[in-house]
Amino acid sequence: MPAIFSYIFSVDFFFMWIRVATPIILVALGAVVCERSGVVNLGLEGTMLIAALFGVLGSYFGKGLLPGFLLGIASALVVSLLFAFFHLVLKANNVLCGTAINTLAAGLTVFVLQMVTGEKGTSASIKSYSYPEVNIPILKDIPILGEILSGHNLLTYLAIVLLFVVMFLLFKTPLGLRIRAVGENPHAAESVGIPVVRIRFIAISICGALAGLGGMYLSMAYLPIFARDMTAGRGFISLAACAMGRANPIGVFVSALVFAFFDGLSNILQVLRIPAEFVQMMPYAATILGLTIYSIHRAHSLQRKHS
Amino acid sequence: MKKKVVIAVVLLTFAAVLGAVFAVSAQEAAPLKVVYLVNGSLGDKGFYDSAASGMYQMRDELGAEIKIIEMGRDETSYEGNFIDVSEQDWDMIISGTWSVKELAQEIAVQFPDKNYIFFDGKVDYDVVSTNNMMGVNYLSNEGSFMAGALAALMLDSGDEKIDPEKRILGFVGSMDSPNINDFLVGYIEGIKYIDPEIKLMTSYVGSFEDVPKALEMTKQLYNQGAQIVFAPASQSILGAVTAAADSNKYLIGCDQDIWAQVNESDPKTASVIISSALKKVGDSLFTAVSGFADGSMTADQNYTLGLKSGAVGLAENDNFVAVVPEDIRAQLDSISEKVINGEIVVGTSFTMSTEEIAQLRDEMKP
Repeated sequence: MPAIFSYIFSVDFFFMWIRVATPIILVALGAVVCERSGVVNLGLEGTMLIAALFGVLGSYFGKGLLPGFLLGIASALVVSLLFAFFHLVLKANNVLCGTAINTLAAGLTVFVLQMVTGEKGTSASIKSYSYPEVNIPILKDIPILGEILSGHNLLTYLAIVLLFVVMFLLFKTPLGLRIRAVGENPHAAESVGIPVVRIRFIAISICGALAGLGGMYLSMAYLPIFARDMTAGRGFISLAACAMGRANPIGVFVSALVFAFFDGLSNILQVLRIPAEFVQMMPYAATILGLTIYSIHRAHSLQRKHS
Repeated sequence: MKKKVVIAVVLLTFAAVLGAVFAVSAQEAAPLKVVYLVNGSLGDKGFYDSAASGMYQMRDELGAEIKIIEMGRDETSYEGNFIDVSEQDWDMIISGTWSVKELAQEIAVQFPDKNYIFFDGKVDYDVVSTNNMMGVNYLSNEGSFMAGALAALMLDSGDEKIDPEKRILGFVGSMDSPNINDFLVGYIEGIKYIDPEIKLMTSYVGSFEDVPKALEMTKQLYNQGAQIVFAPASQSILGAVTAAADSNKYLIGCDQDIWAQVNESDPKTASVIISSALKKVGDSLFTAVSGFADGSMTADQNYTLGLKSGAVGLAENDNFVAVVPEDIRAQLDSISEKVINGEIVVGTSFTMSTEEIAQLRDEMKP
């Protein structure tokens, strides 16, 4: 048992924790914006996957990081607008739209990948660019803390910045107020002249861009390649983190860290004598446990309000 | 008028003769029709791609008409696909791996007029009493025995990427399943054959697609002291490769020559892949189909391919020669010979219970 603790309380583990958490934080923040506007975007998984591929392709064709970034974000926006169009304009059920996006993404990415590279599995045969790792001056010279907090990928730091940006957006700007109003009660919002559909379009687009960043983190930071289905459920974990954090940016940030902790734990525990299946189950069990605790807590607070 | 009739008759005769000639030649060259049902998707840079390369070889060298059906991971669609192709006029229907074994055998019994090849596992002729299914199986354990011996020998090679003080190696598999564990058992025996004191850390990704997870797990193995990792990790092997390159440690690939594949686009990353435990699925399928076509191989028996037939073994590519010192290569050759002539018998996971494998795995952990 003490062996576990020596693994967990190591610099390596903390560093990995942050690395594993980054995509979940980015995408969960996107989910927050969507959720606050009253839309549950189940298509995050697919949006991530598409941005992951197009980011790689953009950097390959554009021969640089910037074209990759732009194409990745653009592709995520297109997919999100597609979702928004079907859900908001054509009034299709959001669960169906989201599932359709995910299914579409799984097939489309492989199809496009094969057209461009001739391979169906990975983009290893083309040269793509990655986001750089950043060493933070001063901080990097502090022992232990510097080793844990410095040297992460640019997108990791961007995720932290975006956490505050999203908070500012939601709680300090007129747009944020409108997004929240539309989410709380669309009819009331409409009655005072807020264009509900337009606000939701904007929220879904912001969400798409964040999910796109999360997707590109996988293929252009974590790994230097795109691989089919590489998101492997991270979009859904992000949605769960959003629900557990009660769509509050700080709460969601903490929930994302909790999930990432268990995910990271599952990477090291197998080395000890714990069955692989049990370890693989942990991040998901943590998700269910988290949601259960959340809903019990909520039921209690509702009861208190009514009594 | 008469002239026209004559010309017409001549032309018609000519056409008829020509048509007949074509018909005959078409009949003579009626191509062998071979279909392969992939219980996954191509593009894994490993097992399935290797099998597909065998199919392309049949097309190019035997002039066979081929079709590869990617069934994906949705197992509920498999039965329909098997029945569909069995009702069509394929001369040979190929499928493989333990996960479709029972289904493939059932189908073969239902369609006794059709011929099947099942690879990467033994056909159970108590079930397939119709004798229309050829079994092709591989001694993956022999190939990974060589990988284990290579990894263990490299610990003392004095290479700068290896810390000889830490007697620890690593293994990252895609799934805790019989075929992956066959690699594990061979690998462990190979390590023990060189030095029983060496420890081994094992991880399973639990997914064929989660490349980032494979990267994290492999990185953790290196962080916790593994000097060389062997990675039968299916498509997610590229995660393991990236982890090895990031950690500047050596990796042994699996199924196909991963070095050759990565070296094209990224020679620097590829340089950490010292070898791969090859499993030449494609070559063996080609041999099986051509053998079946000329009658030298039959559909009523299992063919077992190991080091001896060259179907498994280490990839001795340029990087292998560059990194592995000559004396170790010579030692590996003599070990390989001992396996081939039966002096060394490598154990297999297929005869072990789940508990026995778990025990073996735990014993090796540091």
